Order: sequence, then structure tokens, then C-alpha cells
Amino acid sequence: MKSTSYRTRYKLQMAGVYIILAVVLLFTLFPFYWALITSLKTRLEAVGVTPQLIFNPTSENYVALFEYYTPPFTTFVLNSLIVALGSSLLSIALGSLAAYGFARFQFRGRGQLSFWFLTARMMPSIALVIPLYLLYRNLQLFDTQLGVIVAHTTFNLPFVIWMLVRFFYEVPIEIEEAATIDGCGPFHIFFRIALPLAKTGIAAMFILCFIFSWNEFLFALMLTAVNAQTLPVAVMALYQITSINWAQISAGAIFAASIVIVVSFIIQRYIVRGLTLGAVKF
Amino acid sequence: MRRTIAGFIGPAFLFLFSISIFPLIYSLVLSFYYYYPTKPYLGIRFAGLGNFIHIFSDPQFFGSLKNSFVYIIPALTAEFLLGLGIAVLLTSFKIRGLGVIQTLLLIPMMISPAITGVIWRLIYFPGMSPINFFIQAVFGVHGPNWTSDPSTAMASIIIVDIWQWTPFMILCFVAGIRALPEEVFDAAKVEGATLWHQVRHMIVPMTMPVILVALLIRFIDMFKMFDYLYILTKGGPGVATDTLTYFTYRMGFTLWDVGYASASSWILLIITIVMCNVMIRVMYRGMV
Repeated sequence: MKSTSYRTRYKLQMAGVYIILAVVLLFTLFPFYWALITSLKTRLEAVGVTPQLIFNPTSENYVALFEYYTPPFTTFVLNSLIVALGSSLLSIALGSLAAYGFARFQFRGRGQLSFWFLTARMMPSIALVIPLYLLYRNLQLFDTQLGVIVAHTTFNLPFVIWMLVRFFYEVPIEIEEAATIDGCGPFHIFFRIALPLAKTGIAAMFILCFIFSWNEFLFALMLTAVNAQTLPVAVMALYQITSINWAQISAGAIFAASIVIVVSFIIQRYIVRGLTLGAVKF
Repeated sequence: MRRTIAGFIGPAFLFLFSISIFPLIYSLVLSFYYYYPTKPYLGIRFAGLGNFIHIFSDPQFFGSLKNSFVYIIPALTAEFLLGLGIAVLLTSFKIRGLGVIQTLLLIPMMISPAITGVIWRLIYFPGMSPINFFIQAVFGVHGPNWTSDPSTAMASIIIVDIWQWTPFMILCFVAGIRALPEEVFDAAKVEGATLWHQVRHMIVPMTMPVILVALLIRFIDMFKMFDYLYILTKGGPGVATDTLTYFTYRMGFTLWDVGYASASSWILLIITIVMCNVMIRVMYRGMV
């Protein structure tokens, strides 16, 4: 008797847990699902008080983004790719050197410097974008890919240094000491031993930097006009360009989002670690 | 030795100095000037503390500071509680398809906040909102006007924030709970501790260091949030969603009062520096 009532209670409890999880997942996925089906409708099907759930899916909105407008979406995709790759490469190149320096050498002011890197990562972009805008206007960097790369490096570089210091701590120092005895210089050791040993972490940080840059909005909005515009700004600009054609706006949003979603699945394990600046290992 | 250290750290330091520290010093200097780039005939005049005196008597500034907290406190509380609750469910019960659920939870937090804004604008848009269709169908009443009504505009922003960042809190809590030693839970079960007791007396206190970092990161991120506001409400209607970040943006890029905006951005910066100081102390205390 007793064991059956326990079992029923357990079953009821599990049913409750699954219902709650189903509601959470529904809330989480619904907006994305809604944008996705809107992007597959025609302009007329996309609007209306009663949502149309049965329709013939069309790819015309995606085609339109790449073919009907000048400049076509390809320009913004390329801009986003160049900016994200450029900023990530620059951050990894400068950041891995600096992180190794922090992890391996003792010097005065080391503690304070790491605090400033953390602060630089968390800095409100609006504080930096005002002076950068004025400087860029004078330096001819306004509306250039290089300008956006530099702006995105202001948050990616401190992030890389902050994260990679810990990866280099985890590289066993004994191997490096052995190499020093064999007469290898510190830069030789860095490139030949430390860098290859930390390569998984470095690859994950590269992808995270890529995502941060790909997703960034405020710098890209204020420091570009047309030539160097990146995807998030271009999607936002679709309101005017398409005179609020929801089907095409949704297609742009889904296109921009799907790329990061796919990329982020590759480095799942590192995402929570990266977003909590190393405080949480998932 | 000194040369070696400079060789490793120098390039990054020089780069950050010229693209980040130097522009900020420039903005600090500008905060002591009256400077209107769109009105060149006014010239650039030294203001002394003029901008700061003005800002501390500007009701819009204090209103925006208040709005920042009206945004942060409910959103952070909801994300904390929902994150904790769902993470406890995910870790205390044998859930089938746990891996898939965790993967799906990554989706909102990976999307650009700007794209999130665009997607939610579609969901809130008057006349075609699926939420309002649902409300109408189930309760038979008209749904709210979301972002275009001053009384619901901030709530709309908070819902978007909860949507995008609760998964982040869930995954932080899940990682924190999994890092706890198994024996503690076994002992608790033997002694017949209820789930609520485990949450209150074990999970929350023991995952606190990790959770504090996550909360501080979210706090700073919400404080500087711009994307949802720009795309969904533009700080409005009126000044209903005008946070300190958005106020600074308006002063700088719509009124083109660069000195005033610089002063405001330095106040924002100082608050961030203080918060980062708190965060680094917490991090070094709880770091494994």
C-alpha cells in the first residue's frame, strides 16, 4: 500500500517538474519560433490581429534581403565577418602575449592591472563611444571596418587577457623550467610550449570574441554610416528600408541570429565560463 | 627581465592605452567644457564644474538614475529566483533529455541583444501581437499596448531582459550546484531534509560566491543596457524608460551637448568602477 502511494506521489511530482520545464522551454523558444515563421510568410500574411498559422512557407524574404536592396545583405555579412574576425585575431594575438606575461612574471602593480582589465571589459560602451566618435571623425576612421575592429577590441582584448591568464596558470610550469635549463628564451618557450598547450582554451576564447563582436550594437551603430555597417545595425535599419515589412525584418533577424547559435553550439562548454569571466566552470 | 616583461605586456598595454584610456581622458577633459559640435558658432568654452553642477540639479538625470534601478531590481530579482528554481529542478530530479534542455537554454543568451530587441518588437507590435491574441482568446480582454504605453513600457523591457538572461542564471546555478560535493546531499537525504531545506540551508549559501559574481555581472550589464531601449522604446514613451545609459546617449547624440554627455558618462563610469571593485573582491574570495 505504502509503496504504491509513494510511487504515485513520485510520478505526480515528476509530471509537475516536466510541466514546469515545458513552460520554461515554451517561453524560451516561442519568440524565436515566432520570428522564424513570420520570416517564412508573405508581407500580408505576416500582419493581422489573428495570426495565420497555416500558410505556404516561402523563402522570398531571405532572397529579397540579398537581391532587392542596394547594398545587398552580403555587404553587411562581409562587414560583420571582417570586423569579428579582425577584432578576435587582434585580441588573441595581443592578449595571449600579455596573459602569458601576467601568468609567469612577478612585477609591481600586477594586481591592480588585472583589476583594470576586468573594469575595461565591463566598461559602459556609451562612455567610450562619445570620445571615439569625435576622434574617428578627425582620424578618418569613421565608417571604416578598421574603426569598428578597433572599437570592438576595447572589450575583447581585456576579456582575452583576463581569461587566458587562468588558462596559462593551468599549463604545468615544470615543462617550461626544463626548457629554460635547455637554454630556450622566454619567447621561444611561449610560442613553442605554452601556446600549443593552451590551444583549446585559446580557440574557445577566439570564438567567444567572435560572438561578442558579431553581436555588438552600440559601437557599430554610432561609428558607421553605410560602408562598414554590421549585421545587427543593418537588421535594425530594415524598419526604414522595407517600410516595416515584418516578414523581411524577421528574415534578417533570424539570419543574423542563426549564425551565432550554430557557432555557439561548438563551444557550449566554454560559454558559461566565458560569460561569467571565468567564475563558473560548466 | 624587465625587457622580457615589456615584450609580453607592452603591445597590449600600448594598444589599450591609445584606444581606451586616452579617449576616456579626452572625454574627462570634455566634461569640463561646453561643446556643441552641431552648433560651431558657439565654439568650445571652458565650463569648469558647470556641467557637473548642472547635472546634479537636473531632474531628468535623477529620473534616469531612478529608472535604471526600476529596470534592474525587478529584472535581477526575477532572474535570480527563476534561475535558482529551475536549476534546482534540473539538478534534483532525474530529467530525461537534460543535455538537450541545456543546449536549448543557450539560444536566448547567444543572440545579439539588438536582434532580441527586433524579435520582441515583432511580438509586442500593436495590432499583431501574438501575446495579445492569446490574452484576447483566453481572457476575452484587450492586452496592454506594451512598449507604447508609459505604464507598461518598462515592464516590457524587463520581460525581454528576463527572457534573454534567465537561461544564463539557470546555467550558472546548475554549474554551481554540480560543483558541490555529492556527500552533502546524501547526508541531507538520510536526515530527511526537504527540497526546500536543501535549497535554503545548503544550495543558496554554498553556491553564493559563484552566484554573486553572476549577479554583479548582470547588474553592470543592465546598467549599461542600450540595445533593447534603442530598438523597443527609445527611452520613451516620454521618459518612461530613460535609464542613465540612455540619458547619456540622448545628451550626446541627439542633443549633441558633448560636454554634458561626457560628464554624465563619467558618473556612469565611476559607478561601474565601484561595482567592478566589489566584483573582483568577491571573485578572489570565491575562486577555486
